[in-house]
Amino acid sequence: MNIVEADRHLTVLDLDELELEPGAPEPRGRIEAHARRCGACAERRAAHAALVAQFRVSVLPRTVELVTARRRDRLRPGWWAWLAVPVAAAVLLLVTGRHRTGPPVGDGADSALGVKGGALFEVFARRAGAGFDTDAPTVVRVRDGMRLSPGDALRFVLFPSGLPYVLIASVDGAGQVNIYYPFHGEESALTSRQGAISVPGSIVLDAAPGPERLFVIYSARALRASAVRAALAPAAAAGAPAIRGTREAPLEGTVQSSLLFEKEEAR
Amino acid sequence: MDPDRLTELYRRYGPAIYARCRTLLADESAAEDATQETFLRVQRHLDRVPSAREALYWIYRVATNYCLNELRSRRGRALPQADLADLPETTSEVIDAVESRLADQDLARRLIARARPNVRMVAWLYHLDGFEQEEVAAIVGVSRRTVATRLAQFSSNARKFIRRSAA
Repeated sequence: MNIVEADRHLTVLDLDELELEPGAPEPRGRIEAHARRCGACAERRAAHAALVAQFRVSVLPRTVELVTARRRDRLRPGWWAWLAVPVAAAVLLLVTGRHRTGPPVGDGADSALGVKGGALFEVFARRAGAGFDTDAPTVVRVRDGMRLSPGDALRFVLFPSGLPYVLIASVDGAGQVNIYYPFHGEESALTSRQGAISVPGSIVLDAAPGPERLFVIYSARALRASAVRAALAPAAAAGAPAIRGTREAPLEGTVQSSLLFEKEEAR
Repeated sequence: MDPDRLTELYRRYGPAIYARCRTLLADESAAEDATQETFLRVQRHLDRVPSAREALYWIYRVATNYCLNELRSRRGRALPQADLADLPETTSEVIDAVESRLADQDLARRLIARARPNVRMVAWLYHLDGFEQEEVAAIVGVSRRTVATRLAQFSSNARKFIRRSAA
């Protein structure tokens, strides 16, 4: 028995069923007839359609590979146990090492612990000029050395490193050091979650052309943004070759990953 | 399940899951996380269900439960007194006003977030989503009588809470 009455208000089930089976004439006719008579339901329908479009255009391209990877990880129940020992050992080493060496994290000591090319983060770019009303692919995963344009919007997905604090910085072609996460923050953010984190908000690229290198820096305790800026300042001052060639910031007790992109001239 | 099939299911059902999570959590980033988590929890069922409706029932059950737990863990914020300041002055008027007050979605959200776990989902589906009791029963996987009992518990506790707040 269909328990949905002919002229009841629209529920989320009506809207989702219509989305999943757009060819079914009965629900479409009933929903459209009701939405013509009921302003509140017409609004609800429009809001629902906007969320569906947002998922398809913005969320899906960024997360589809992430979902596949997360499922793959869940199918390997033993790997966390194997990983736990070296991660715990590394954390212990970092903590005890810092206590022994004395200076706080981020004071420019040069014994950085880097993870080169490690999958600690991924970057996705929404290409400038692509709108919500197009079916063309608008979001791409940024690979090392990729060319991007002014106006492209970047979003970051972070993967756990075993260390609780994270900061995302960049050095751009204009010689600027930028703190992207926490955006314009004073120090690293605490990340208590186990799984991947989609960093809120996006960074829109400006018109300064040339290379820009991103640094994701994990640490056992909060890093001061000023210390990160100081550590990256030499590379920023040395110009494009140094930006391309510097893969980690000289910061003690950190786990880092880096990615380079090249910003094109504005057209 | 091979990765292509998983991707196909995510493309098909992701929009419904995301819309659900976004509505419940009112936060874009949290909704993205919740969408992935919900999808990973229900993907095996989505691969087997015979109809879109049954798939949606799974989605609503898992997503609603997950998101309400998220809201619960975020809670700790007191109910703003301004929301309740203009309640009627006598107790009987307060009681009469509760049901209509639940039409105030913001207040209903706050009250639902305070409810016991087995009541929360039923109250949300009924008061905020507008499902009939039979539909709530089908989604949650309990009898209609159980739904009615839980809704009565919710209304009773909501009355007590509003009466206390208005006192």
